[in-house]
Amino acid sequence: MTTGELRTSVIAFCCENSALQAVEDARHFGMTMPECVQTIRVPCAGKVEEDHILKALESGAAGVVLFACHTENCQYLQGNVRAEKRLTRLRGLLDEIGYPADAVLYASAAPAEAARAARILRTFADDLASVDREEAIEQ
Amino acid sequence: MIVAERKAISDILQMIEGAGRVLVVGCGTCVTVCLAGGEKEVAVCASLLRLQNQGEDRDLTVAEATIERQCEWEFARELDELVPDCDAIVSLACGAGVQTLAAQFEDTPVFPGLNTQFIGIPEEQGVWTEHCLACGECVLDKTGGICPIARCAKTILNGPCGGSQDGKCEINPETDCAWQLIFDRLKRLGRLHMLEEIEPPKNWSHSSDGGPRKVKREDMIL
Amino acid sequence: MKAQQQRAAILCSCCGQVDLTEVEEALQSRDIFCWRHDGLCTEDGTEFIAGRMAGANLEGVLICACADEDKARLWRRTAAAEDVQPIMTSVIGLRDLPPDVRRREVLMAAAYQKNMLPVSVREAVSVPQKVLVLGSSAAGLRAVIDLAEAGYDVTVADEEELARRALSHLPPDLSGHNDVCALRDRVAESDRVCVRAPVQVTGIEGQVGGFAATFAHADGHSSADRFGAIVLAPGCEPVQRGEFLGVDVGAEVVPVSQFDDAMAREEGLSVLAGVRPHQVAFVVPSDATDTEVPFMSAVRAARRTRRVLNADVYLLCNDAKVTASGMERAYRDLRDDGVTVIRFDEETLSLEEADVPHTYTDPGEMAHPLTLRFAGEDLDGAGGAGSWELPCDRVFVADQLRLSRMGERLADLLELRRGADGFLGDDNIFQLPVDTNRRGIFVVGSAGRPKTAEAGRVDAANAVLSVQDLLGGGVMTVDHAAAIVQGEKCALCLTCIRSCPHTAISVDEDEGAAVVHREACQGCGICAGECPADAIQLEGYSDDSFAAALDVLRGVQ
Repeated sequence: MTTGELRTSVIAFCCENSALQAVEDARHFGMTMPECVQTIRVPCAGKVEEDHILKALESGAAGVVLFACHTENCQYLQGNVRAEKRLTRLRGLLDEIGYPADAVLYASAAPAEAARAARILRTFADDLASVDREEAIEQ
Repeated sequence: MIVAERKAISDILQMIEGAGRVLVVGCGTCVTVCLAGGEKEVAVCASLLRLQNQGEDRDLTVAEATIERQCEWEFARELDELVPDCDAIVSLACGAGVQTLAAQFEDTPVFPGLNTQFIGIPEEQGVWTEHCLACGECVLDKTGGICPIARCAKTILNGPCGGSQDGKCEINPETDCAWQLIFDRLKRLGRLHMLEEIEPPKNWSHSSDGGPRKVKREDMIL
Repeated sequence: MKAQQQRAAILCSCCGQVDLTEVEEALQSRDIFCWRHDGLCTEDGTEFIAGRMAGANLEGVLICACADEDKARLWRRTAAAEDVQPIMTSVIGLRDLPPDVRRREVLMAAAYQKNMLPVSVREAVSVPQKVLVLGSSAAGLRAVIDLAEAGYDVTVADEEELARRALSHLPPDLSGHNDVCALRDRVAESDRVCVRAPVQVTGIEGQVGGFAATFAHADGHSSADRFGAIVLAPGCEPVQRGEFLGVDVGAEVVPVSQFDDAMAREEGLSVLAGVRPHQVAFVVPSDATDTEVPFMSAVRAARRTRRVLNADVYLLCNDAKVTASGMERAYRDLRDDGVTVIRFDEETLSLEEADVPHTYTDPGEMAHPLTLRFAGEDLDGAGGAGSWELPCDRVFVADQLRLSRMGERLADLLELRRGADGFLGDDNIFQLPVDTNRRGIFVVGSAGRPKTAEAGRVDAANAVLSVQDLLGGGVMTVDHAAAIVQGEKCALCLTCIRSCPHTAISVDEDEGAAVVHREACQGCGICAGECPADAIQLEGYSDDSFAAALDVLRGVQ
């Protein structure tokens, strides 16, 4: 059902109140960003459902980042808390099926933290790529 | 409500071994409410099965459906069109739902995706506790509305055992001693004297000890 | 519905920096009409957008240009003037994207937009110009007066007589009794204010713009009224100490609040049981140093004791905070007055009561019934660091403060989120200064967190601004962004109701489904994220929007 093209892509669900601004700024300021990152604007990280993240993986995304606001900084008070808990459960589920749980990441950034957002995405994309390489070597 | 918990995905994978087309069916009643088998859990379960399969050689397709109540023939029949296209059904319902589907679809294996736990209540969001054992002969009138059969670890009917400590159960110190609760409640209601009544032994033949049970209401039988 | 509505895109080439050819082709292949411009960020750009959209009868528009939030908002307003819903105006920055990502980004935005749910229209709802103030702390009384002066009809309700609690637990920098009395008198005189006290609030139903409150009065009758907004001002109160370091709180070990209380009631230092102590210690234990208020109370009481009685006064504190406003000066004044300030190690503090009942004969021969022992350091350096043994006639203990009982009852009644320390204020910056988790319910004064009277006054002023912002001149704008429950899918599991941070969802008995109240919904989508039946969709971010965006990513046309 999927094309193989997206194997290297990272989907980043970004809270529009914080991380989305940071990621956009990172691009705007010319910071080094992995090209494979595709942002999806969400009203709050607490909106992102487990099945959406799984569908992104099913569609061929190599990794999914759920980018929320920092602790105690959610405009909707509980959104980041809910998101982090949901993601923790999801990682457990992925682990159960033998899928690398590190393919999904919960992260937070403030709107002004472009460098932080860029660094998180870079590290994440690099880690995914190195896992891919290891697998290739094994095969 | 009936409270259930999801089975490990590895268990489900083992059950559907060899099936190429799987239908995951949720139930919109009890197990949706206890967050184990509603439409979203169906989507999650189906996605996980598909994802797991991505690394495998075989071809697996997973379809999803959620019906209002899996324990009713009429709702089960809504799956009539989907079932012929699948080799196995994973039912995210209580045991009654699984069996309804199994009876309805004789030629397709139906596997349970949940472990049915008990009849209970949400103590708080995300935490459920057992409150009824369906013993068939309710004694709550005599026990201040607190069930010693379901909530006492030893199902004791005549007062607390020696292991009741500071209002907690010796089997699990997180559990309240049902008899302490009963005593406190009856005291509050000014009905402690009820505990002095001599009760005949409970007739367990109304429970599952009497074999599978049946309830009939003659006037409603068409 | 308008027939034949189309979508269009306005593309900015950023003075030729962005090659739009591919983007334009992609959009046109999806029947999205494109206009180009070279610099939308200029003033001319906004005119260009307005000009192209005028009369175009569009359903949605994609504006591809660099824009900050203000610019994006301006463009959304510009589009809204042509009847395009704000969420159907997507603003996407393309300039900083790698060329091959641009096409994908714009197609995703288009797919996303196309699948947004039909947007409910932003509505103007008429609301009562009435505000309910619950509790009568000093800040609450101030809010009552300010709101009345701003033209609102104000009802102030308290479980006790008006201002009674405020008068018994004065904040430290209020000049006292007289200020609160003056506020109370002004409230009583105002013809815009209805006073209900003492009264029990038995229920508050509904949402912002239409809170329906019921009251049970002392004489047994009950009443009801509707309010546009609510201001909470139940204040805080000291936690009762039964004992301190093993010694019963009573005549010799006294909470500072009782000292304040006695002073406020003008009983003066008779709280000291009619004797004139020579040596007095004020102890500020760590449970009282969460805020400056209990500390400042102790400081004020220590100075007063020193000045009036000319006794030897010691102030024992854990941590010499000087960060709060006025604190450093308070320290200086304290030392200038001759109070000895000691930083002590709480672990080592012990209090001993003399075994033999003491008798006071002549003040000069007074026995010291109490002995404080601790390791500590005299901050003036006179006594130096080391072990102390301090005989005292009286030990005053600074109070630990908590939300008042009335505040607790209101928090339960209104389903308000409480901070870690139990107060109604939250550390979340989005709730500062006076917001609660519920729209239209504000908190002022020490119910939010113990604070000085000056800070309470600022709260009151902020609450008035917030009320004005919300209720306007009797018309409240109900926003469009809301979650929508698909009734037929709802299992009434209550998950959304329990997890909504804004208490914006309730059970609709007639529909047999959960219902989201648009006036209170802030559009976060947490409910949709939690719903086990997938029965809740968000207008601006539906499952279909997400699926369509994913299709674009997968290259499915």
